Amino acid sequence: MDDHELIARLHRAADTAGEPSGDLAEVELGAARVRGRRRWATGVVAAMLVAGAGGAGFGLGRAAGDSDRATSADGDLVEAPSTAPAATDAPTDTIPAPDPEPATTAPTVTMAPAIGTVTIEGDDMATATDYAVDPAHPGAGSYTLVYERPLPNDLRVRVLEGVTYDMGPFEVDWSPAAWCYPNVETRITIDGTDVVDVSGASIYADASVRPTAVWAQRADVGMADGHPIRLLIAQAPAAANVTVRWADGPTDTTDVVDGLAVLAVDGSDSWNVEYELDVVTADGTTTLTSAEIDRAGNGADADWRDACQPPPPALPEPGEQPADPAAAEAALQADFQGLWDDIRAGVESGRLDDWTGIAEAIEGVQTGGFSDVAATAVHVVEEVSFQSPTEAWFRYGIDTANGYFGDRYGTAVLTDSGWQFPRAVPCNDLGLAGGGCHPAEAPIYPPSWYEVNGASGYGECSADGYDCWNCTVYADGTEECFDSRGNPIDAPPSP
Amino acid sequence: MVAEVAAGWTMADEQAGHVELSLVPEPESVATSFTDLYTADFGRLVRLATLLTGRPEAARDVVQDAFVRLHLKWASVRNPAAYVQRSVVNGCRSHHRQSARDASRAQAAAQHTASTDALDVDHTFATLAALSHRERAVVVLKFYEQRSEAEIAELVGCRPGSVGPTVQRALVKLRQLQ
Repeated sequence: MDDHELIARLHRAADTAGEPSGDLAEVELGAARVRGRRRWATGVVAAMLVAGAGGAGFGLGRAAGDSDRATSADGDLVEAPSTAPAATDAPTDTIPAPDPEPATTAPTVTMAPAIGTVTIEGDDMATATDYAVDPAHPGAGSYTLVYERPLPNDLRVRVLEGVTYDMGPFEVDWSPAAWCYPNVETRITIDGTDVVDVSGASIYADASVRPTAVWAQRADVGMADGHPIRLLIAQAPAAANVTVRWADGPTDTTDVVDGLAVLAVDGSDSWNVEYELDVVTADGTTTLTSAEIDRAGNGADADWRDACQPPPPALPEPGEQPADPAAAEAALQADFQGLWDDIRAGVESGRLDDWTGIAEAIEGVQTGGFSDVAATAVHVVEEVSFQSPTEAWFRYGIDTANGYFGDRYGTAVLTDSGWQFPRAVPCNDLGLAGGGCHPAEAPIYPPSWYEVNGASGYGECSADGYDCWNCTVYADGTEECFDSRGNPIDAPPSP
Repeated sequence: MVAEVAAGWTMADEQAGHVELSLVPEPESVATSFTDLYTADFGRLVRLATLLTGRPEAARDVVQDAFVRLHLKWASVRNPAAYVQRSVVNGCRSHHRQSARDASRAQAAAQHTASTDALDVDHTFATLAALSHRERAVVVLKFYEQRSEAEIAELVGCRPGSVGPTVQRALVKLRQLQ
């Protein structure tokens, strides 16, 4: 059975599903039931806390029967006037003491028509804080109210600070720089007559450690209520005031309180819209783009990679050097770029030791779902270690529109026509983009990689298929095994 | 164990349950609402889950459950399309673990003769059932969904370097069942 036959058989098998049509109302109902179970499991204590949260909810919809509090649903938050936050009134309060009113009113909640109309009974208006303290939810625990801002149309946004994570060390003797990752989980709640919802954001315990000294995260809320609100949770420790200008038009301005501000405009889809943030400090106004602020986690940023990712496995120690190492390195880089030009052009040059299956692999890339991203790929040689004047190890990365694929390794030998690379190098890269070589090639790693990651690995399942495990075999013969959930196990059971 | 940090993915996301699947391309038409995403992806995901579970009826349940989970987390999930895809793959793993029928299907597949039966859909399901969930997932994602190895690693939850060997092991098993 070759690949084409396998693909054809998979498509025929998948087609037995026909043209399945879903039932959106069934999804809505299922979600509503889960929320109901969460409330039940959280119990009386949580219900009391929830009741005291001032009617916050988890985005199920507005209270149809709560007409005495009704206001227009079309209230516009764009260009909303800045209102001094009230967080200073209670900056360190935990979730407020119970207020019996929301629980006793127990409004009937109607789902927004946009995702189907389902009426459920109960006190879903109270669910937002319930969700925040749900022990089944990651990051659940004690939350502290650290920010509150009234918004137009009787809306209110609050930030509740939860768990602070220890972000290192990731490996022995190595930890990421403090600015690499936000380390405090928050719950962002919004509540009002028309909208009740909860979202989350990761912020810094001290945002001043970041290169920009500013951090911001987007969140969309209110979508289930048909009243989407785009939030920007901004940290600017030295600022008095911040203004956001979204690329699609809306703006908002507010004061910074204890280094924190939440900016709100009508709309959603915040993750797909760029913005500029004006940060007003005693020294003046600084404007930052969303790209500058989003820098954490950006693997294409060399500074970020150096500070925030574990150092790559070392190349083998250099041996006898070429007469002109710099010129040799430049020639190797040029031939590596030339190899990819040859591959794209279908020219079987001497830059590759074996062209078997390369044309088919590049065709697989060009016809696969990754072709657009692959077309943007630029190979960047990062480090070269000459083992002799005619042999080299090198580390490189692939810069693409979808991110930077670093810590890739190759070897090269000098021939009469220049540096020549093994077939495994392009095969591994083409495989990354959906174009597998046949026969396949093993990944290339320097010897130091195997010292950390093991010489080989295997996976097995028990005879009844219930339990599966994967093991890594290290150079010294020891094994490390994990079950299918990633939990370490002492020793693999007999298959 | 070495911690892995994929591009666009942070430990904070992981610990907060907000795993971003940055290598998984956005769908061709980016859904702007839950309804849009559900409408656009439901059929495709059921077909994917059909291959992973071997049963269309179970596949539909897995996908519905994945969308229920997405609905519950809609406000905090940054890449809903990627989230629901990974939910489906994980949901199929749970199904696979609970399905005692797989072993007998594999035995039946091994006893199949080649030629006419080789192209039979049931035989395809049966041979897939002989694979572990991870092997089946990487084969389906690679050869049916045409995913890159990096995407497969993220969707299945393994190291990118282990995708290739897993594919090779799976293909050997499949060929042994021919």
